[in-house]
Amino acid sequence: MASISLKKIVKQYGQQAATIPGLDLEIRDGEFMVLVGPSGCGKSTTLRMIAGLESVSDGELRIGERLVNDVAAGERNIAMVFQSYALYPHMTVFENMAFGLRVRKTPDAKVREQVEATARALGLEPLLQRKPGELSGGQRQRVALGRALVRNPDVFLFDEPLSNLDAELRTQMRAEIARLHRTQGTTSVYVTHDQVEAMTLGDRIAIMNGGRLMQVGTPAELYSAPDNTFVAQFMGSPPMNIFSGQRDGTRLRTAFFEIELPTATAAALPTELQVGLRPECLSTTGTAATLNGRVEMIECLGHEGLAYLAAGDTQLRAKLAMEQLPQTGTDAVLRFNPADLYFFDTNGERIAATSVEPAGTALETAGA
Amino acid sequence: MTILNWLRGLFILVMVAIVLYPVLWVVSLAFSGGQSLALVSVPEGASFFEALRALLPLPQQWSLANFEGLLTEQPFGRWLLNSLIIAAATTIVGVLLACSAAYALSRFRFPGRERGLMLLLVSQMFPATLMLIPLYVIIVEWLQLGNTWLGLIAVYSITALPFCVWMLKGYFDSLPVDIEEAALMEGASPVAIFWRIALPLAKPAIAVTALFSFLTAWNEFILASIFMDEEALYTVPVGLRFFVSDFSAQWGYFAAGSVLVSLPVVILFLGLQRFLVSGLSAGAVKG
Amino acid sequence: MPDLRKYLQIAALWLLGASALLAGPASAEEIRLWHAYRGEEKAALENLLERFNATVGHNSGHTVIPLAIPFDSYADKLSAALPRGRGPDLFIFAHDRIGGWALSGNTIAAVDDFASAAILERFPQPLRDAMSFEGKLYGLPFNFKSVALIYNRDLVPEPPATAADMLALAKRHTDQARGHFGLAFEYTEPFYHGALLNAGGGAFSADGELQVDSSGAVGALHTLREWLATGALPSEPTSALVSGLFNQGRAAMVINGPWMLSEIDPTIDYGVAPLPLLDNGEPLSPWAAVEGLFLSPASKHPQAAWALVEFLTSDEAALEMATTGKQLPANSAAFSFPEVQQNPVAMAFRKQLDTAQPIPNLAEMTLLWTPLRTALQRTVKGTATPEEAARELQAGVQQDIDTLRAQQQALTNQQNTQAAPLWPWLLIPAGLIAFLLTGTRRRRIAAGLQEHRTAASFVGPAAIGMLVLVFFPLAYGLLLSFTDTTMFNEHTPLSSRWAGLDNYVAILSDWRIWNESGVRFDNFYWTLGITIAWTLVNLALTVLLGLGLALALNKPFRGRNLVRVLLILPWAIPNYITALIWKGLFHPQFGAINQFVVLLGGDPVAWFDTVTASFFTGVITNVWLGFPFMMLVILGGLQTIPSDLYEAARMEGASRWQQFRRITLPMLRPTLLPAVVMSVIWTFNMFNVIYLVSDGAPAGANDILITKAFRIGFEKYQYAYASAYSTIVLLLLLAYAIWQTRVTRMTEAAK
Repeated sequence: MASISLKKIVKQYGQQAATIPGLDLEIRDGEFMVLVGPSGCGKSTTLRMIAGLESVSDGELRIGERLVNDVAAGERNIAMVFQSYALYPHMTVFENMAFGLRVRKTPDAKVREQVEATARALGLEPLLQRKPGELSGGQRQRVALGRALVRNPDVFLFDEPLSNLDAELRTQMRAEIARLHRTQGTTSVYVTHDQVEAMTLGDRIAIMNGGRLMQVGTPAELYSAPDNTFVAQFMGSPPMNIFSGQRDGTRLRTAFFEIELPTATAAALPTELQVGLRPECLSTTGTAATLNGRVEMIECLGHEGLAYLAAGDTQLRAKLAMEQLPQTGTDAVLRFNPADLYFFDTNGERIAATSVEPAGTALETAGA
Repeated sequence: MTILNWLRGLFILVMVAIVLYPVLWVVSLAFSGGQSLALVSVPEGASFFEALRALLPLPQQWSLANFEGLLTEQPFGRWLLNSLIIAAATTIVGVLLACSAAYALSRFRFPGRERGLMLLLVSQMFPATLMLIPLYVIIVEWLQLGNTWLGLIAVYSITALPFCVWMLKGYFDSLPVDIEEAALMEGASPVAIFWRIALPLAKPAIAVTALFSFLTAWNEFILASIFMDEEALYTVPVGLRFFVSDFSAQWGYFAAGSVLVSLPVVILFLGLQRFLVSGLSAGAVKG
Repeated sequence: MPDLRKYLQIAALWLLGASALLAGPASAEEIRLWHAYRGEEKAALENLLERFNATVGHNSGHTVIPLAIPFDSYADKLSAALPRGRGPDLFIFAHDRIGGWALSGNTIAAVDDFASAAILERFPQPLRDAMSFEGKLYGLPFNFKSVALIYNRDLVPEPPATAADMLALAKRHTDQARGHFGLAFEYTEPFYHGALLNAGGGAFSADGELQVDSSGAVGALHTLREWLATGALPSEPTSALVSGLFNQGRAAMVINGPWMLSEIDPTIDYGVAPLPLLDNGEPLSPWAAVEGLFLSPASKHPQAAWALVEFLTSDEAALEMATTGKQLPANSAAFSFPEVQQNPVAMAFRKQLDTAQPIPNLAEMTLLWTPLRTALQRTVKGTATPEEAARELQAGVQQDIDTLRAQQQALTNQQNTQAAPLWPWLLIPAGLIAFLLTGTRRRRIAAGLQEHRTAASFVGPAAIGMLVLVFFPLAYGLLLSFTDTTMFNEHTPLSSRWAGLDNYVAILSDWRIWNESGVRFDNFYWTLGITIAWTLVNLALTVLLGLGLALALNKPFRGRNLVRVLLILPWAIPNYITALIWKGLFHPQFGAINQFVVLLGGDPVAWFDTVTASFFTGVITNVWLGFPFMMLVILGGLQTIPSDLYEAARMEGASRWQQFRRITLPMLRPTLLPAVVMSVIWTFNMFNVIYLVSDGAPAGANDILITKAFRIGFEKYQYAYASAYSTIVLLLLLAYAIWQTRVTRMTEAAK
């Protein structure tokens, strides 16, 4: 059990510009922290630095109270589940799980006891004498988990552990990992590029981009209060619609609509800005504001569907109930609550404290 | 399609014939009881097929005389045993040294690594004949290892090293690193990872290098005869060369000896053949 | 770490123990005798030594320990051991090296003080002369060997008395179509040419001057051509061919030595007679090789060793050697024993000795062998007239002799009998270590020592081994190339031998590739061209063949595993013997290849006569030896190509050829590249195949750089010049390797 603390962590290869120019992150004891971001954002590097597989170029890395910058990976009491599982192909499942214990010179009886207990918990008992080559993907994943669990480490690290599984197994294993964390309560750091995994597993999520931390928070915080367009678009599926807008006095004009802003809100906004609106906040009913666009395409997802609207060069997606979906090629009028609008400056940073009170008079949009 | 298959079959057949023909001459000479080296005599007025028959490497009569002569005239069995011990020890020492060096060259970044790799290649570029005298001085005069197996084992295992390290390094490069990282996370030391993870995984390449080290020691003749000052310590290749002197040569004995000498090697090749393909090539390929 | 160390310790202890068991310490009272005998001669020698140990040796407290050494390595072993004060007290060797050894000053001891006149009386004068050099006696003759006429009694009842008779008789027994010949001998071997050459006055004049262009010597070449013009002699004669023909009853007469007798088929009834007289009444006068008994200057028991020499040359010993050993003892008394007198063969060889001449034991003689062989081949093949061949031979060898003599002149002032110490050479590897460490020291500290300590413990043992046993000898070779070291000044201090870049200048600035009679095949640039062509052709063919076979074997079929095993056989059998088998297969008259050609209606090819044909004998042998490696490498490479790539290509309508061209080849590149680099380096230095198959024929045209270096080093004793050659080889290959792409990038596919 341990917390993890990253202070001004820098990773630099050779003389090149730093891959991670300075990262601060506190992971609490027992917390399930998900590192998420597009590929190349530095999330794996961060994880490998925590693991001790990459050296830390600068800054302080602590596990619990201990400064571990120069502590070898094997001495950090951390277990890691690799994307490729990294099982030892020449050893049986039992030997795979026992390896770490044996390296620590654990007595044989104890090794057996611990491995068998873990195998029982994961349903691996019938597989103990097989070699990894004889297992299915899901089984291998389970063995990798078992190998990490058996040592009872302070911290679990997961490096995209589910990305090699098919959709169904992935859901199943995701639930398993969540269950394990609930029962064990071990501090976990989980790297993924899949936001659904991030949302479902993480106590908190750290979103990274280009080696920098974009925002850290609970899934709900990140969804409801994104700090910037990157986070806003990263969380949620389909991502938040972002389009440019112009404020002229208290009027906000975009390609799709024009509304009157409350004065207090208007005062906080610049004249050039970006407006965000989640696809799921649009509907054909209700009394709120309306927006117009030409329907370019329809996607059916079963009980609901997506409508792709265009106004000039600007596009927008709306998630609607099936019966509300408009016809392709028609002009559609959709309704939304101005309170659901997010405002960002032109750099993509959220403009703080800007929610739109229901203005009462929703103005007709100027014809598209 | 079928024509292509036919051509393929024909090509393979022809190549097998070309490969076997000289080999069969060696075998035939060994079993002929005679001493003449691959001379063909087509009988006069022979028909096409009779002539063809004469060109087949079959001895006129079968005889074990060459083998008898070989095994009785000289302590050939003793030499065979010496060679086996020296070649086996060379293989063990050579593979151990090559594996550890290749592993370090593949996995660790340290100063001199790239130059070391280049030097490995360079060492293969200088003709060995000119190294005879300095080797004699080092082994016999400085290390006092003349007339011992240890001296030969040292020289053989080291001279086989460049190729072995080169092969093995390529193979280690092709192994996924995360398996070793997993072991590292579990607290295994670099040495433990090397012995318990990397070596078992590199089995095919180790088989190839073992074979190569073995062959180096098994076939070498000149150093063995220069370092050893007792006939009882000679190796098989030295013994074989007794049948070639300045004016004449007993090629029949020599061929019989070659057959005997090749047998263990062929058996080794057979045993290791499933490793040969992957061991030789995987070295260069990234998964 | 403890794991590795433990294992290594166990291995080392085990090895030490095992070797200690077998290598006992040498006792002080041993007399060590080295020889290259085997079979009956060895048995006779050992009988004698036993007798000596039981009598003379027993009384004086000495035991003789004999060591038989294969002929192929005997000279190397002697020249490694003797100048360093190691090796035997006494050794048996052919007398023709006496001059060189005497001049180099630390290989054989003069024995004038030991040899009494009474003992010298045992030997005929020519044999005594053979053992003397510049007025000093360097040993006693033990046995002698010379050629004589060996004839098949069923075909030739009475031996011919004159050369004309011999040729007439030979012509009668010749039927080329059936492969029958009247006379066979290795007429392109200088040793066998001696019979004709000596009848024409010999290679050296009485005062030791080279005279291979004398009218007598030229006449000898003419005579040889006349003999060949009769058609009664087979082409490309080798010892195997000569004895093979005789054994099959297809050669009526051969000129050969006593060493052939044991190989003669028991069904052949043969007789031996001295060589016939020439038309002018002069006898043919073959060279005699005398096996001498020599003392090492470093022997600690010269008296006891000399006692053994006296014993071995005694009448009693001579009888044993003649009867059990079937030798021709130098002690004349051997031939008055009835056992020997009743042996017509021995008596015929003894009679031949009366007209034979010992091979000159001048150091200069060793420079003559190879050029004389070339001159003989050129004369025989008609690429030069006897006059041209003789003139070139004289000029070329005289030049080598002048070099040699100039050096001896310079040496006369500073005679020194111990080999120069080698330890100063240690400075070179030390420099090498320094080179490895500098420039990276800064990074080393920054990166932290922990990881490097682990790396060092992994690389250390191999690195130390390589440094001592590979790079030190290599550095020695490099340094040698900046000196003028030869066999004769090897023991002088390094500074006195320093020659700077002289060798390199001499090699690289020699632009005389052509002279009036064509290409000078010993020119560096010609050899370089041949070497490059050799490497390229071999590489192309091994890769092509390997690729073809790998593609053919990549799809499963019945018996695939068996085929694969059969196809790697060339790799498994020692190439020394397979190379010689190939040489046999290429024999123009009796080789299977030409027989096939004839069978298929073609004309036989003179494989070793033209540069191109001879080039291909080497290439074919080497490709045969080398393709299995390539095949396996490519086969492995093919298996790593994912099959869905081909499926995708098929979907897009790519033809088989396009699939091969666009997928297979590019995907094989990373596998092939290291194999190609290795293969280039190995082929460039492929000594055995060239040396054993074509031997550079014709006239050294097909020598590659390494065989050339070997010839310079070991046939002309110009060690330094050979080193410079080798260093140039190294530099060329290094340039190639760097060009082919940086080494590291080659083995580590870019991440």
